[in-house]
Amino acid sequence: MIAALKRAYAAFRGFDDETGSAPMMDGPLRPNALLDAAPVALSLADVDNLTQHHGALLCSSGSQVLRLTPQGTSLTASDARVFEQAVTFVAAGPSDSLAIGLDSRGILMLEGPHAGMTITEVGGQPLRCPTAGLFIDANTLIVANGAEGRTAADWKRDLMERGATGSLWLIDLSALTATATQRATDLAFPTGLAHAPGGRLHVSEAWRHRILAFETGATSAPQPVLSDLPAYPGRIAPAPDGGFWLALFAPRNQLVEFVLREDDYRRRMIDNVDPNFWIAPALSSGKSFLEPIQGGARKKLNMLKPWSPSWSYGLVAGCGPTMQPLRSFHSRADGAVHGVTSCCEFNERLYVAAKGSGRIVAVDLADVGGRDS
Amino acid sequence: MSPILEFRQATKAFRGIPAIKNIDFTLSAGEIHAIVGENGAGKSTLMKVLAGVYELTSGELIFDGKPLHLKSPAEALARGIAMVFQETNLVPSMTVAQNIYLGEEQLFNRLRGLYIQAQRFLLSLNFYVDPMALVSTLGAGKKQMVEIARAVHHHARVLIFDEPTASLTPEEKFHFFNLVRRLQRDGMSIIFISHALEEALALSDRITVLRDGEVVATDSTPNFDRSRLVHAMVGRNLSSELYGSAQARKTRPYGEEILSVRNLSMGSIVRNTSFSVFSGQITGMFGLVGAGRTETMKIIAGVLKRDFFHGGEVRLKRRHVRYRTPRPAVVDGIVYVTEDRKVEGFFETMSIAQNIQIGELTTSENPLALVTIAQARQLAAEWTKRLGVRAIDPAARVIELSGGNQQKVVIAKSLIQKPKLVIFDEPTRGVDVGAIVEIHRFINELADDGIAVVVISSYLPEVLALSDRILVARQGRIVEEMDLSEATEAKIMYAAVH
Repeated sequence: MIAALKRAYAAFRGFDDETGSAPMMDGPLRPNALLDAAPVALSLADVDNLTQHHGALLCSSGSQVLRLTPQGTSLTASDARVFEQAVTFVAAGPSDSLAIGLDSRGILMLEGPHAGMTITEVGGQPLRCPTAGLFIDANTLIVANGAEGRTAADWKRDLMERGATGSLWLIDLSALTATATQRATDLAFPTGLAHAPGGRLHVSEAWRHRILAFETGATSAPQPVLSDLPAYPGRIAPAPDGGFWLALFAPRNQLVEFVLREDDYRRRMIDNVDPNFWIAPALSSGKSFLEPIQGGARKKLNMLKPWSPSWSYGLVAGCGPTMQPLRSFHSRADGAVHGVTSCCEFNERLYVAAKGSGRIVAVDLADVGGRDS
Repeated sequence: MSPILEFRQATKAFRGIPAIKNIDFTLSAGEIHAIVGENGAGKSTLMKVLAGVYELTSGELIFDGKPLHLKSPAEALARGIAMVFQETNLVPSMTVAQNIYLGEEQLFNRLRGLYIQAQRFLLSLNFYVDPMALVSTLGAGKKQMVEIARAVHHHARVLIFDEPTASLTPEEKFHFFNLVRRLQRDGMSIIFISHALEEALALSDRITVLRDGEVVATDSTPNFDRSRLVHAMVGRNLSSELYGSAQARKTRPYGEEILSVRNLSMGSIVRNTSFSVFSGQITGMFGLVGAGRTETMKIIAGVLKRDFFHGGEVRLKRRHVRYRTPRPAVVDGIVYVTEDRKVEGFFETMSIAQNIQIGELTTSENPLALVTIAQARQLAAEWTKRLGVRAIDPAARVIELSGGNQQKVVIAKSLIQKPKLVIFDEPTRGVDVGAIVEIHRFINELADDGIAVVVISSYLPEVLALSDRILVARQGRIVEEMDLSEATEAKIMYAAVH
């Protein structure tokens, strides 16, 4: 009875129920400034997906894929390959396989036994939003389609329209024409894939702020292994000790959670306001006074308060083999490594790609005490 | 200034354990003297001796140059020594005037005359309080004025304030400070106990720092600053030997998030607080008295209720929970080991076996479960062995045990419920040194077994010795989180008082 009354009051007021708050960052996700303290290895606009291939580091940047060569703490970019569409993911696999996702277009096999193959449709539908790819073996690629009928660049709209049309496809490359089998559907913008122990697969589901574990071969329901994250999870990278690095590309905050529950308001906002100025998470912020959180309220003596609410943030979580966070690296509201979409451990350094700020920083893991200190 | 009051080698022991030891303290006439120290430093014991609540075990109290032996608070008041407690001792259902003149009632009382008399008296003190108002309708500041008026009415020459500003708003504090200075100008000597170091520095003429029941520093206020005060309050060598070096210890890694508390609120005591607790770790919670730590944890354990509206949320393993009684919390795996074991921890006239058995019955799904005496005894024998409870017989009554063994029974009663989250509130309060080591070892074993453990403690070395991560509470909310590697006593205390 009391609970019913409380729910009725909450429905009337529109808040104060038990779904309106964003989780705090504490424990292993306690804020620090380690990303800002790390040296900038490379400044590169639109830098996105970092991956290891052939013992080298590759990254995507806009419509290019580049090879990165470490020189001390910095990186040098070379061998740029340019494509017609923006590259949404880079996946390396066995037998030197290399696949890339192209926004609104599909998948292109760049290297390996299936080089040159393109996949533009899955299940009879165009593959417009390939957000992540992972090789199970040289002939099998698993691909996340972020949202049906939308491009990856349009992620903010998908969130604000509360999209949950993402899907997971198992693609058999061995046939002359690749065949795709749907592995999961109704996902809320899947953005990251990684192999998990026991032949399982970890999938980050951004809009539901969680990581799911799938049995690769079976059709059983996925199990959440990490949920209620304080930011939107993106790509997952394996760590050499069996754990993972999880990139979280934008923060959750209470105002966005509130707006996400106010359908009429959100509809009017989507119809009338430039997406750059929506009350919504972003990869970078603070560039225009038209943004809904004004600098004046967030500053003291002209210094941006690091704890002030922000639309963008930089966050990488170091997780154990069961995906439990052990530690984290942050760039807070006043930082300059925002919108982290990808990271990769390479030569005992963690390279973190901040798409929002257009830079790659190199965290020396020996200096910061490793992944679980 | 000549001393109006003096303690010489004053010692007060409880069951042989000294709460204050060989204290030498002087209060000059017309002086404001601040006494600061951690919880358990002996401030309140010293002042209760002065107020006639306790008698000294040894040493002497000199008042106006003559030895004084106070037997009761009434005698202290008659001598001109009054104490204003943090929780005021007024009768809330009576008016201001009735409270001031309490104990002086005639057979027939003329209320009108009483009110006129009270009005004149209050105005003479510049206290703008309605003498006809019920005390229950007054704010904290006005209540204190009434307490002070009562003390002045009894011709108090020494006025003791115990944490006077803890429940005051900033505006009320401002008025209170003016009031204290006015009382000083009128020749009253004032002792001011406070955790708020800024207040002690701003208001007092001299400061005495107590630690572990002894005076560690007394000096004029201008010779103190915040850092010297904090160092004097926390720098203890004895405890570092007892508890070891915190920095040398390896912390446990974070486990699964067991408890997530968001925006939890309960009146003005718990105010919009948020934190998480992880399995396989000890989360230490430090704060000064009144910081809302116990209340926060009692809400989680279903002992207290959070605000009905805007009370925040509690998630146990990602599941929303709201307990209205402790039993469902216990069934879900949350146990709270109370700080006040005599009132809330056990049934003192029942045996060890019965008390432990009650813990198990709480989680039993069958409320009419029958247990044989033999079963209860077996269970008690098992747990007394595991926890090292030193008792001749499990059938011994709990009241007959020492404080440490009583605490072990309370812990056994809780742990028999197979918890996922154990909250220890002041687990070693009133416990001898040997039992402290055993209780600490047991708490560590729980965390090593993967259970989420929260330890609330007002004793900094204990927090540092046990915790893997430390939360600091102040004024009803968690204000700081620290890893063990970065935590120091001074840092924690700084966060707790700022």
